[in-house]
Amino acid sequence: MTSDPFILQAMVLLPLLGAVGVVAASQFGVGLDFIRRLVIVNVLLTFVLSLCLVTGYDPLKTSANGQPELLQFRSETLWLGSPSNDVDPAMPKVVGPDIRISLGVDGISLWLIALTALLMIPSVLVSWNAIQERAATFYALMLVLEAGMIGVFASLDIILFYIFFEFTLIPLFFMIGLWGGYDRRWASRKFFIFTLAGSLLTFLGLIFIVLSHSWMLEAMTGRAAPLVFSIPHLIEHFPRLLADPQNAAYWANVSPWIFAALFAGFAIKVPLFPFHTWLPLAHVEAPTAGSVLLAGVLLKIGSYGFLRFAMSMVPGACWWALDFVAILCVIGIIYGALLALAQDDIKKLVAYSSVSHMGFCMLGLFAFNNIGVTGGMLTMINHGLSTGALFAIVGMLYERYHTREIDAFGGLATRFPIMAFCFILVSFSSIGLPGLNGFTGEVTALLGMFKTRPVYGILSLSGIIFGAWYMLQLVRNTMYGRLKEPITEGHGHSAIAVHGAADASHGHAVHPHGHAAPVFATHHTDLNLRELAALAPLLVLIVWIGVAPQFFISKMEPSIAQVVKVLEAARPANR
Amino acid sequence: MLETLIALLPASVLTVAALVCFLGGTTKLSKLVWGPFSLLSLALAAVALCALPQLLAGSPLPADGATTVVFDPLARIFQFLALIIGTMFAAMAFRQQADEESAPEFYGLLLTLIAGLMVVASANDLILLFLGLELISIPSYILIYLGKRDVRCQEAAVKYFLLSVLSAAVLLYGLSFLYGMTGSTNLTTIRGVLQQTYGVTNGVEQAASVSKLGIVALVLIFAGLGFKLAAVPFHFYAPDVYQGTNAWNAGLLSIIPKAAGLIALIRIVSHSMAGYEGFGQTVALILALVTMTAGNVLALLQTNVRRMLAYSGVAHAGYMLVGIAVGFWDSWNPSFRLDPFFGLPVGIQASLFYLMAYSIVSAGFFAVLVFLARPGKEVEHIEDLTGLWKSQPWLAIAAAIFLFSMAGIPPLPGFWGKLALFGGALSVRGDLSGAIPYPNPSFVALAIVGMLNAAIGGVYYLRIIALMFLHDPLSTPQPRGGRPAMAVVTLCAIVTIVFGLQSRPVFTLLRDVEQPDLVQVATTPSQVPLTAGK
Repeated sequence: MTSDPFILQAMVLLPLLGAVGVVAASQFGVGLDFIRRLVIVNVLLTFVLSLCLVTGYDPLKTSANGQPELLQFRSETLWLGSPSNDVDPAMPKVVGPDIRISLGVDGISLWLIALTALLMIPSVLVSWNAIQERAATFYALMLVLEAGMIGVFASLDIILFYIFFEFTLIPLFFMIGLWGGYDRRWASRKFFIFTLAGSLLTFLGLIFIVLSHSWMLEAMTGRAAPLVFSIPHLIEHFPRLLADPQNAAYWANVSPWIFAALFAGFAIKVPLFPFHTWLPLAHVEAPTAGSVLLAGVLLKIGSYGFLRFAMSMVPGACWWALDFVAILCVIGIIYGALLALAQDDIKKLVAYSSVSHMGFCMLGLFAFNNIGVTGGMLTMINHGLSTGALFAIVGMLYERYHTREIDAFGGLATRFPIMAFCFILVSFSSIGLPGLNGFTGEVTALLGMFKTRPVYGILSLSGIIFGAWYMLQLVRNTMYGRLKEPITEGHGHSAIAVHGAADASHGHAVHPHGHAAPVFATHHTDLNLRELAALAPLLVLIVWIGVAPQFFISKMEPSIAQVVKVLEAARPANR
Repeated sequence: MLETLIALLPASVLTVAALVCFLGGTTKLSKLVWGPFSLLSLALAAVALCALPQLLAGSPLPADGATTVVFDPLARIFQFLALIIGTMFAAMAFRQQADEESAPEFYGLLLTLIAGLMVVASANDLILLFLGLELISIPSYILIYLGKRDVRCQEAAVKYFLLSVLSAAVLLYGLSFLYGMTGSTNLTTIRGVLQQTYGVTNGVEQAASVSKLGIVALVLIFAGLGFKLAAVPFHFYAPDVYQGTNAWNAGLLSIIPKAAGLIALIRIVSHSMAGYEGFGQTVALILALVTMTAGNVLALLQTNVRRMLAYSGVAHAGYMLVGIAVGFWDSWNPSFRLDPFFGLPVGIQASLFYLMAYSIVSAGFFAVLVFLARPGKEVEHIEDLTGLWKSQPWLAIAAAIFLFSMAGIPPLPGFWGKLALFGGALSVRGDLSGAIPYPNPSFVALAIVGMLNAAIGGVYYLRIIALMFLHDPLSTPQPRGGRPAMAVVTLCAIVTIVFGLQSRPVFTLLRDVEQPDLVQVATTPSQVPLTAGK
């Protein structure tokens, strides 16, 4: 497999074309069936491309002069501004004095792009029957969202990154607001405004990084320096600039401010403890596909932002803020778990567990060593897989009963053995059972933190215990014990009659606890092929990462080592 | 003399056409001809504008700027913009004016107004500039009155008239100080005289302190033009007037006076009052801070669409003033010019870019409101737009594009505008003596407040979008705006997107708008500047 930049461009463009195709098809009055097929084909194609990306990425690739080449599949087109040739000969080639459409992946963004492409498959499949109204628009928005998410991770230009970053808000705003639950309008607005407010400050910080780079270059060379928006160029050149003591003094003074600005947006996106209030609302009210993507991918934009910008560009300030961030993570881990324990809505429980898990992820990243950052990265992927699967299963349950009350369910394992199996497996992954993915991620993240600041590692261990508590309690209450099912209302009798007949023919119409069961409950069948297909890839990966994480780690390792090298260089003497 | 007349040709075409309208209104000609006629005359003016460089080739404008008219990039770009806006508003009014008795007068007034903006864009003389501003003001009094004939509209017309006259008087008072100080009404001469007396030439300040008279002039000019810009605290008329009149008038008021005010401010203060950059920077900075914050916070509280747009217009004026403040700093520190290396215009150019972005988007959104209006029944409450997506999908999508651009969502033009403005503010330095000058704290504060303001703006724009898309319609609208208004909406939406995705040509265009070169002025005894105390 060659490192063809076309693959990455196609991954951004294909969903966009798909969205246009879906809207156009719906204008010609094509049926829902055709549209759904069009979408799933599109999503599968993008996924195949992402597989090409994963297999084609060579972490040990070196360029002609023997330098390691971590960024691959690169492409660059001039967009705004004019190319300047005013480049100092002493400095290596300036990548861009202006704004470019510049794409590429390294070992970090590679996995997040693959995760996005993968999670789109269950997202489409769980929406199959759930979305009937204005389905074409829904799928078009979903594809636009996919393009935005892939674009965020693939951008190598600050402006382009920000454009994709903001652009993910618009489709999700409409997805939550139009197809969400009861409180969907407020939820979508709160989500949009929280993220927008933070990201605007982040943007200011990003611009300031660009300006400072130019100023320091100018002070060093004595010549007017161009503004560089290229992310890899900035990361590569900051250490060189900071060798100059004047520059270092300047940078030490301004970088805490830059970190604060970056923190504003990314901490809301992750979300870290006091900024998490938008998350449960948005997750609970979003349609299932929206929840899967929001939890699975969009939260990772925040942690990715920390990794890509804060830790790579202002490492000194990261050390400065280590304790602050770590304390917020620990509070988030414990507080999120306690809140999850107190929920009576399954979806809310999963949403609060996200706050807890993302705390682990950030704790891993802020360990600033190879093992911790690797753990943080793995936790990002794992959380995407397990929380995505959990939201998908909750959505399937909701489709059957139109409720998500924990108390309304009980003993479902007897009714839906396959679903129960999936649910329990995913719960174990979320708890961090050894042999499944959650364990590898959280344990490596904590190991990293133990090296840097043991106290936060010890404190957050209690989060794992709480995590086991609320997840196991959820499993016990819903899947085991006496069969308890909510009475479904508002269903057309004809539909139920059909299902009843089908059930009767399959021979399990007899109810073990007839008195507790509602009259029309018999139509609830186990997972069908489509639902199984939605969960299967996630389950496979949950086991795969748990058993053999080396395949995943080996591709991200050199890129992580590069980030850690920058952080190590900036390590203050007294830390 | 001849070259001055030639340079004013495009505006003259419109003025003559306006006169034809006024005269033709007395004949028995069908009311339907005046719309196409005004479009035709706007097109003719555009042709004249395009041919102007050739026409001026024979008798060029003197290079030393000793004329009343200039034809520099600023004039060229914004005369075109005036014509484009005029065309849009003329087209928007087609259906509305089809059965109006006063159609010819209406179009005549519109043409006069556009001519006024063109005069402002090219004036190099205080008198001509003031004349241009009045050419905008006087027709708008009548247009507001013609718009709707109820009590609120009359209140709006009277309010606008009285306050506008007052602001014109304040502006004239300020201009008179400028004349008193320099003995000339020519902007080039004023710049030259002030530069020699108070300006920073080659890094050496000419005088220890600037004359107090200039400070008085600057404050009065800011106050007078602040009314046009609807900058706080001169904005009080805007919400009442926008709400009292119809959508078409409100749209016109939200663009033309703002453009005229901004250009006049640049011509008179930024480009001509050499030596007063430091003071002007402080005034513009405070005005920008207060204006954008007050505008956004008050817009948050509104439920009437036009009232909300009035406050949002106030907020956008605040953003434009950020660029003015940066521009002052830029020309105050000639040794440290903010380069256009940004790929984006900075300072004054950023303000002008923002003005263009705002004009297109604002015209588009008001065209949506015009399209939805019925005779005697305007879109009043923002809930009147509820569920627009169900009844008018394309209109709702276009409106959302305009609102997202106003909110500054990338990659729409509003985003590039804010990037240029606040990127410029961040690149302003504090103490220039150090090896790496640190950013200027007050401008950093301005940028942070500006970003928070953009977030507040997002809230109320998003509220309208949420109403349009997320709710079911309360009633079926019966839009009466007709195809022309719809065409304007479509055109604006397309321009917004194209402008957003490929804004490089506009940036390149605006990069030519620069501080005019200094001209050595022979100081005659009558032009010896007055200083305070004399």
